Amino acid sequence: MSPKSAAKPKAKQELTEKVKAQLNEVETCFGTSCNMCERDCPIYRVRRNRTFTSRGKNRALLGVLQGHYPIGKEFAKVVYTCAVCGLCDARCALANTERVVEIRRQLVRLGLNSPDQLKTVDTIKATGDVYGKTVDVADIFKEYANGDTPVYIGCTYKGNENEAREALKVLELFGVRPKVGKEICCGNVVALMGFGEDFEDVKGSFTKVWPHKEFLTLCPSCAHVFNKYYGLKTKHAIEFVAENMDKVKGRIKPLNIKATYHDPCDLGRRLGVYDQPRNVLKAIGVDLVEMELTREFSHCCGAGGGLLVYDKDLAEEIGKNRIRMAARTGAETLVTACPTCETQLTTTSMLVRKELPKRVKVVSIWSLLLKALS
Amino acid sequence: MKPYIKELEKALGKEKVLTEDFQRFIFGADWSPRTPEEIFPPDVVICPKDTEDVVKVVKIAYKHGIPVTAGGGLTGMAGGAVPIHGGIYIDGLSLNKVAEIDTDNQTIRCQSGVTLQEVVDAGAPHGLWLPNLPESKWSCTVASAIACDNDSTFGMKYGKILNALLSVEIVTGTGEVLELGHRKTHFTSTGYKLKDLIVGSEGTLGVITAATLKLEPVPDHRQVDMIIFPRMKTTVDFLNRLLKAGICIEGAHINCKRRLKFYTHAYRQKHGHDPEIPEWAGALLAIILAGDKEVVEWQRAFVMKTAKEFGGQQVLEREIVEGWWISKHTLEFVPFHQKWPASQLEKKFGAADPGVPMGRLEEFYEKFIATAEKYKLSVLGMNAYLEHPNSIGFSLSCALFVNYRDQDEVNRFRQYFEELTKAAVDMGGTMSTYMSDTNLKVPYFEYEHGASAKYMRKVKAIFDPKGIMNPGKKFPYKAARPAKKAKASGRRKR
Repeated sequence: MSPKSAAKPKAKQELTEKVKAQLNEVETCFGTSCNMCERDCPIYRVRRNRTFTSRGKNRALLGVLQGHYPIGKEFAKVVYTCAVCGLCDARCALANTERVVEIRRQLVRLGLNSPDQLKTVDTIKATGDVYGKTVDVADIFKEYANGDTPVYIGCTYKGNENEAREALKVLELFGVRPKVGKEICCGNVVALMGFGEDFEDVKGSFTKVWPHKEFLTLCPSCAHVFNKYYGLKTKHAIEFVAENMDKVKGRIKPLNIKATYHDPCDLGRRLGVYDQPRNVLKAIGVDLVEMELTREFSHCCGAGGGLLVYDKDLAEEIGKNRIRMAARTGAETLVTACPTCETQLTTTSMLVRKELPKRVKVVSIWSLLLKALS
Repeated sequence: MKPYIKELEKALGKEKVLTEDFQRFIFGADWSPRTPEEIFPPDVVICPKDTEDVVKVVKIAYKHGIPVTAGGGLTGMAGGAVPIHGGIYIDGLSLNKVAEIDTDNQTIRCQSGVTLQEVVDAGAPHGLWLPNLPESKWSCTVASAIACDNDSTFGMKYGKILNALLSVEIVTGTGEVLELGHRKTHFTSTGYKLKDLIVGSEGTLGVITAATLKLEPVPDHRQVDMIIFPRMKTTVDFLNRLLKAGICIEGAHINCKRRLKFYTHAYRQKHGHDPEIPEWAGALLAIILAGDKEVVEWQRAFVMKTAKEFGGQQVLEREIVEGWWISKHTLEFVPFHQKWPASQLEKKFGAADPGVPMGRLEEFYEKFIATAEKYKLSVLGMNAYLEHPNSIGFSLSCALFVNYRDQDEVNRFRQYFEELTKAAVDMGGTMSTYMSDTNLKVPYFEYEHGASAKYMRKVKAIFDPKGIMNPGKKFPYKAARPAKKAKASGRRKR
């Protein structure tokens, strides 16, 4: 099986209208040349090479649109070496990461994507799971088959059922009866890697198995994708919890720990959820200390935008930088509300532990909530 | 591939040598007003890791007579680091190691591609900072600041980068490594001050590879205020009075009324209109005091009392002041609405940077407006940054909005630039105060320098006998091959 969006010989170097339409913005970037996107870009921080910043990519695309050179393999490498985290967007007034995804669609048409990316798309289409797990989420969480509030678990928590159960138990403590049913991958990574036609296929498959129009998710990326591309009314479960903290007021046993909170890119920059998890953490007795680069300017964990598929080593270096930032706060615990960030930062925390005075413990917000409410 | 590029790959390793068309294209322009067609890609980009790498590059370039242009943030406002004659571009950003923070002597030794903000960050844990900071501090490197002799927000107390530069390492045009300066002492009376030649040299004498900079204690408290004055001259007189009284001013910026609008992007976004400034206002002084809170507050009270004696009126709407300060220093713009692209979707900021004696500021302002009107360019405004410690010596930013997509308008901007810079010389001033000469001032370089230009050429020849270091800047370039626009540049194909 081969992804639908993959190389079409006739399409070679015929730029799509959407790519051509980028000219005005990349000229504006050229005219401004402020370079405000550079300093905090997680890729630039590791590579120290301007080519990988938004300004670099915009300038490179300008040359393509002016007809100076065609898009080639090395150009593709630069465009794929991006976590699509959106930090450059927060430092700009242009839609830089949307442009990256649009160029990636062109790259896929030109066959300039990597074999690993093709494999990931194939896997999702064949199994409905980004990791290729064939077990159905409805079978794992049978006890939640008859609830009344649909909760979308997502691929990462599906493979980490204990953590997902913690989240579901917390929701129960808030009076929710979660309903978990058959689900397949939302296709976020397919879209972000530029496989547009394949993403449409994934959407079609999803719609056949998922009947709900309004539901909670445990994964920020899924919530973002469902809202933006599926037109569904989705909320990350932590928003629901934050809105209903009064329901558990008398039950909280303060944790009295010092922790820092990592804003997941999709939950923060894309869904605008910054205060809610912080308010929840403060309410359960967490002494919250902020890292450098938080909220709108949060630094990526490294696992976003298909980067983990494309360049695992680089993704890990980015994650290690985030752990170093957490360590600099003096907190021993880093909390997050995204299963992907949690997995990535847990891994990178192990990788970087020898250089730090103490290991930074990475935990999910659900784990802390359950502890405080049990 | 050209033979010398193969030599570079062999000497440095392929990972430090960028040859792809799109990679070269990225380094072919800076922040200066130019059309998207005026991009001059180098033939090859080098990402060195240390001085030895730079030596290897320059020796190969010297052997083959290839131009070498070194650059940093590429946020220059006049094209100083644009490789207009192709050849080798050295991307200084990969020279980014801090070698030492000496807290006893308050110095930092670092590679030259460390950004000014990274110097500030490195000093912060020790209560030290580098105060010689332009707005582009996030991407402007130590080498860029030295090479183009740029401006600083805090110049009235700390001066320009030369005041902080104790020693600098360069690789000359023959590939020789020289350390110029006086180690960790603040000044010297021995020898010729060759270090000072490097400031504003634009990489025409050599590639800057490392520097020792003087750091300062971080002040505990800072107070930023704005005061409206009826005239620019009154503002200058007022500042002179403060200096006479013994007030220590960290920074002072005299804005014309029009210029303020450029700095109040955040205010406009929030309120939907420009801040209200009285009709009678002829100048807006932004004044910065810093130090112990008690001392700052006493000085502030004196400043405000004295301002009234000069017809000044304090700006009480703090959002106006804070909007200016965000734009000037903190750079804490509203997320997703950063000022630069948001305010310049159609036209961009373009400025001339002359200097005039303090007594001729108003007269020059009139000349600025008249010259802009002569060339049918829209005025953004003038700002006089006080850049000399404890005296009234300013850099002028005479800024316009330039439609950079229109070649005719860009050309008119360059005519304006030439006329205004010459006018400054006529008034007893200078052509440049923070951008240096670049290629723009080459045709009229001798207008200011006269016979001394001949000696300057001889100085260049000592450091750079083949004339390969950033050729075409300050002096014309006599290339072995005809100077032409680089290959990847050309007419746009839409």
